[in-house]
Amino acid sequence: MIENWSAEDFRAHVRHVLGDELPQGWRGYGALMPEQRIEFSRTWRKTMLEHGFLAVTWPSEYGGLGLGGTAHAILAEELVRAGLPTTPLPNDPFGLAMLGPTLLHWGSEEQKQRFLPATLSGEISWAQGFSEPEAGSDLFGLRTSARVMGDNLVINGQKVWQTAGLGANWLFVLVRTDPDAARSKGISFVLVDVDQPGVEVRGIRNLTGDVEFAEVYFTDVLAPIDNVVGGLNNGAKVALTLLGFERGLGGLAAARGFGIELFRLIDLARSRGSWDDPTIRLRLGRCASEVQLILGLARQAMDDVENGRSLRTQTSSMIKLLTAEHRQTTSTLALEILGLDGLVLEGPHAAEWGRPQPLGTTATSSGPWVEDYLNARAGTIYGGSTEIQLNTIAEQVLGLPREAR
Amino acid sequence: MTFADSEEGRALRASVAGYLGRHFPISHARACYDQDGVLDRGTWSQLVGDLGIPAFVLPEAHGGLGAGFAALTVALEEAGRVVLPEPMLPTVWCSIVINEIAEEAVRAEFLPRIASGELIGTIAGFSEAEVQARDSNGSKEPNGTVALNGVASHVVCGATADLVVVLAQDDQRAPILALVDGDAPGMERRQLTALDCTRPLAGLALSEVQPRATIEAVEPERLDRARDLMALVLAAEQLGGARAALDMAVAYANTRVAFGRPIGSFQAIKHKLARVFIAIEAAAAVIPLAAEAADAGSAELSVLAATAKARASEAFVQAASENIQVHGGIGFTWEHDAHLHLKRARSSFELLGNPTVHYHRLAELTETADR
Repeated sequence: MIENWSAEDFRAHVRHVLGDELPQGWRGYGALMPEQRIEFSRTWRKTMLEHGFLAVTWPSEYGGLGLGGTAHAILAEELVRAGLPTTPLPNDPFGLAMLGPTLLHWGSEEQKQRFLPATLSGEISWAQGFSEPEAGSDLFGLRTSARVMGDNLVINGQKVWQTAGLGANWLFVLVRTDPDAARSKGISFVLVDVDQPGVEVRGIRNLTGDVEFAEVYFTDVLAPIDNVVGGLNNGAKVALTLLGFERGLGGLAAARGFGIELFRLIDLARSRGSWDDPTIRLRLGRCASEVQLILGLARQAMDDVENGRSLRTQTSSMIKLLTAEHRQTTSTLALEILGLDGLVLEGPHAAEWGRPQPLGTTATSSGPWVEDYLNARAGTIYGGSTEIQLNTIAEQVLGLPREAR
Repeated sequence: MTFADSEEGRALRASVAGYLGRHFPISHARACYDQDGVLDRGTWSQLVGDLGIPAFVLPEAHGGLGAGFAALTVALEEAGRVVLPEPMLPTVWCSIVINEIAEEAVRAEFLPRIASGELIGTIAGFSEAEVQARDSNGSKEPNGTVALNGVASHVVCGATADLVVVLAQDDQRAPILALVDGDAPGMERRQLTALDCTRPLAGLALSEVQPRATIEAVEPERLDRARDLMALVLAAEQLGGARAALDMAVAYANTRVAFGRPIGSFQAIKHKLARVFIAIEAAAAVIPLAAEAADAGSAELSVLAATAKARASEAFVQAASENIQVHGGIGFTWEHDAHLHLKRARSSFELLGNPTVHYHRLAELTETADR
């Protein structure tokens, strides 16, 4: 039985499945032409679903494999190694990795039955409604309001920066249900159907010219009180649980992805004669050391989980901060190697925006590197900006006095 | 779970830290500065007898404890915290080279004497290849018929070591290791005025010096592994010093008041110290993994040891300099302990290859790695 397998057994199982399921001559997702990607991802998602790989940590009664965090980390790492997307469709991270585990922790049985299978099947496609124009780092200063009217909440306000927002048909939203309570105490976490009057979704074009994010306007939008998760005015706690999942155990897969990116960077340097430049080799070597640091921290995180300890605050903060800065360092180095050619976009559109490009991506075309450089600006801002991470480490780990509020 | 995180590892750390805190606090290191670093053999014997550190990675058959690098890195980290001025690190280096490369007879002869504290050891010639080994009578017999000539600079504890392991070159420029008595005829030792009084440095001049033992035909992989292991144990020591410097800075930031509040409440100080923390703890995550690779004989050791040495070097210098910065004027005085860490950080940065050397090595290792 899969539940009794060791970590190494599970890894062997994953490799076996991937070996069976991958097409002949598979060179990695990055080698696909842009126009082939969506079709491949849809088909691949079905394969993942069949093998239970979309939600390995969910209990089997909700469609998962009931395995621990280690299994999830191993699967993600093997997928990256094989050049496969860990979350096939753009909205998958929000449903599978964030909302799903949060519902398992805080949701009622009805909510779990209503939303988990539909999320797994892809019938429901989620986006995250947390940030507002006036509330980013200061999330609990949010203003979107929800007043109770009979069996419903009536929601008014605006949310911004939903990743894959245009593809979502449901949102999980933080709203202020008690305007008189102080800050975090009057917030509720509610699930909202996008497909109703009063919900207006608009795309946001980012500095690469792509529309990855959306903003949402709510005008008298209805959400049944039954869709509030964790109880009225308890949303701050639910949100913190979810944000913990957002950080999660992605470090091993990230480190594997960075290793693949490092090889591409070396190939780029070789192709342009920059490998002969000792300062470039020095910087590449330093990038390589950074990948080892991230891997070391990821293994430390896994260690905590495997030994039943809660994840140390500093470990997830450091992984987030270091991975974001690493992407900026590698993409900047790539552009410096490219020189004037880095001013011209050439080659296929990049497959990933928030992660290193997958196996099979061209190393020598400027396009994906330029997109990485631009997209990497976001990493030190979202998911807890670098400045917030430094505050967290200083206050919660070093014990220095808190910021005045 | 890594050894460092295990109950056993925590107990070892507490025991070593407790012992050093009682008998070798940082004031003992300071005494070296005030007295020009005089080595006391009685103190050394006591230290080795009580803690047994030189014996940690040596085989039990040769008087060692067989405790492995996982334990040694924990112990040396605590030694780094107090800037331990005794010649612990060079003696450990010397024992590592002999244990990894010498043949059984040489190991049996010398390792027990190092493990017991009888012999203080060091290494020479690993940074610069300036010592030539040639046959003194034209034949190729070992032990005494090879003569060493040349110079070796920046030898840690070179003026006081009983045993020096010299990396020399033979006529074909192939590496050859020679074990030399510190006071061998023809060996001239000149103590240098070191920046870091807790890490004495000497210049050695060798003229027809006859070694106790030689190891010819040194396999490159074995030499690489010995270098990696030496770099790893130095990185562990650097980590301890860095953590101590950060602790000092945080304590000060929490107590020193300016403009009506503790200076640690200013974001500039908070962010500065958070950055130091990140640099240290990221390096710290690699060291136990490198120690595991060392004990398992895994090929991963090279990448991990190079990363550990380079990053611990940067983190220690950063921690020590920011510690002075946070302390303001008082951090600039002789009487404050901050400069002890700064000078130890600087000397450790350069020994066994500065970060540039290790980053170049990492680039090569990555480029030739399996994809």
